[in-house]
Amino acid sequence: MMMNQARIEQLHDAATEILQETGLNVHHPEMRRKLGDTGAKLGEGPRVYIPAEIVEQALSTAKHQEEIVVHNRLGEPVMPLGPHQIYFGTGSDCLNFSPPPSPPKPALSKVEGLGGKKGGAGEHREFTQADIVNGYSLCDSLPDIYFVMSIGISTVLPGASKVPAIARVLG
Amino acid sequence: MKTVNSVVFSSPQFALLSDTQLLDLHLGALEVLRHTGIRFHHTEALDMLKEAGAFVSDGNLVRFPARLVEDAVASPPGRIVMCDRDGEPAMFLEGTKVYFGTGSDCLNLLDPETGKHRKFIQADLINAYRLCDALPNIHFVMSIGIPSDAAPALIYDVQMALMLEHTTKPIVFVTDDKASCQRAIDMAAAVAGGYEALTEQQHILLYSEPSSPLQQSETAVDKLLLMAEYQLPVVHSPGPLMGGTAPITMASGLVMSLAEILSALVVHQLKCTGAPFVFGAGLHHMDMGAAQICYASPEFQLTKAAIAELGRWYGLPTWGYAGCSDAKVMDEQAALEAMLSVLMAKFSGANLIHDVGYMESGLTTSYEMIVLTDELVALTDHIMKGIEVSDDTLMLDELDKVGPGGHFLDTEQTLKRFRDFWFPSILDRKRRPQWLEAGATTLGQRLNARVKEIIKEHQPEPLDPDKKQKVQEILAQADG
Repeated sequence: MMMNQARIEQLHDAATEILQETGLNVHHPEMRRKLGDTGAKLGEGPRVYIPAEIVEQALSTAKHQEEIVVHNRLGEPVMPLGPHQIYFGTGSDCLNFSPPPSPPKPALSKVEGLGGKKGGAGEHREFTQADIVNGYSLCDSLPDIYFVMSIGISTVLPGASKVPAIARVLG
Repeated sequence: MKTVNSVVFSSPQFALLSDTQLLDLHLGALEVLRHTGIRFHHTEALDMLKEAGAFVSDGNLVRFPARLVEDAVASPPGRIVMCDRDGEPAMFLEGTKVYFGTGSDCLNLLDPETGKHRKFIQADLINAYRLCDALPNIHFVMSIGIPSDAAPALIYDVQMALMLEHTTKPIVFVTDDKASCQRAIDMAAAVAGGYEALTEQQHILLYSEPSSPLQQSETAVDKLLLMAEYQLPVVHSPGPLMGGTAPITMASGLVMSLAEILSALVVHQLKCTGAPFVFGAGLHHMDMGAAQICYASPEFQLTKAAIAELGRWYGLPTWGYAGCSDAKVMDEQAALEAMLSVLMAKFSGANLIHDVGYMESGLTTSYEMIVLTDELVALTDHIMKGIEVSDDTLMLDELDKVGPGGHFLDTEQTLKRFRDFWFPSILDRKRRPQWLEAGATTLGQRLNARVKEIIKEHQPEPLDPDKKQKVQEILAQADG
């Protein structure tokens, strides 16, 4: 245990104090309007001050929702997001890709690996869509990778239009 | 927002066994000791045990009434302060304080100059002790390797003499028999300035083992009793293999280990009430596919943590393992197993964590692994600090002053506190162009460079020539 109840409450109270006294900048007109309608104080420019009651209200509404269960593409419930449920997935939007070395390096890099000019720098380049497809296919096969994020931003595919990442994920 | 008795720091903590599980394991061990018993291959021990009320049958099978065990558990000290060679306190073996050191008696090393896998010689050991002497997060040494250029009968004497000469750090030693244990004590006493000084400074600690399952050998008990007479600390740590020299489950392996440790503790305390005793066991299993002992398995992480909890439950200083790997070279597997074991050691809070640098089930040592572990200990120190939550660190005023959309790059607090975050010395965080510029090194390359740099540059504080002379005389007598 790293946190006890008292410390969690202390952090929560500090955050609500900041929301109420310092406020935050909301640049989204509809969000500003809705916050105002709910009882938040609208300050100068984008500034909005959110009283503690609204925060508590929002937290209690969220808590009363049913447990979120994430399904896979086949409609099977695969990730119930309850307490102590842990799932692993990739990150999103890396610019670059380190392709696996080909042919594979010998396991024992010995001395030439220690002082060589190139050191540990293998090939390093921008993602192509083919790389990203491989990435998703890799994650699809690994039993302990439970979800994917987009992994990379591919700007490189000569002669083809750029496909939004979400379309590739769904593909 | 003022609270009384507010806890501003709370380290990440890890608890594996419940109170009832701890008790069940203890009661299981008491029943093994009462009903099954332990074979003691040692006449003096048998006499002492019989005199104290143990039941001896079949020549050397000792069965223990619970009272004998409970008395023994109550008498050793709850803390041991081990000093460095200068008599300055270096390790407080108490509570959940964690200290790291190497392993003992590897046959082979991975030569940092050539990358080759070869047998140890004395020159390698000197380099290794100097390396450990230089590393701030390696707190004690064990012998690391068996020197192939020393006479087989003198291996342990040579190791002790070299450790005393080439590092000031506390020593955990392994030795052969009563005579060589006596010589180790003599050497350490010569360095400490006498036997009483050595007892006061607790500069050396003996590692020994029962002969699992459920036996205590003549030589192990000899050494145990000798150390007790000098009031010098010991760890009598079973090292059984589940499915081989221990039953196949972790619970039963723990019960057997407990029975072996506690039976040794009874004899140890009968010999000298209150002599310092460290609680430890290395409960491994054999990978039946590879026919090899696992030093980095998830199960080993669990049994180590269980032993640390049990030791604290008995109120004794504790013993553990980390910085060790089943990999053959300093590769990605070695690095991840080092990280896993160091973090688990910190979470478990065992006091003396040994086997840093062990590869290949303890057959080989990698100096690079020792340097990496030193770095990982520093890293995990910062994890164990936890997060300070206080008015000072909540900094609501600063948040309010900067406000939405600002930044904290140039505030006084940022300037004052940015160094509180951990900065690595071996791990790389450079941006790619700077990393390329600096040679595009891998972790393995940087570790190797650091090993070579330390071995080239670090000179431990020299041992007083008169003391060195005395140590050499003891070594020469052993040879004669």
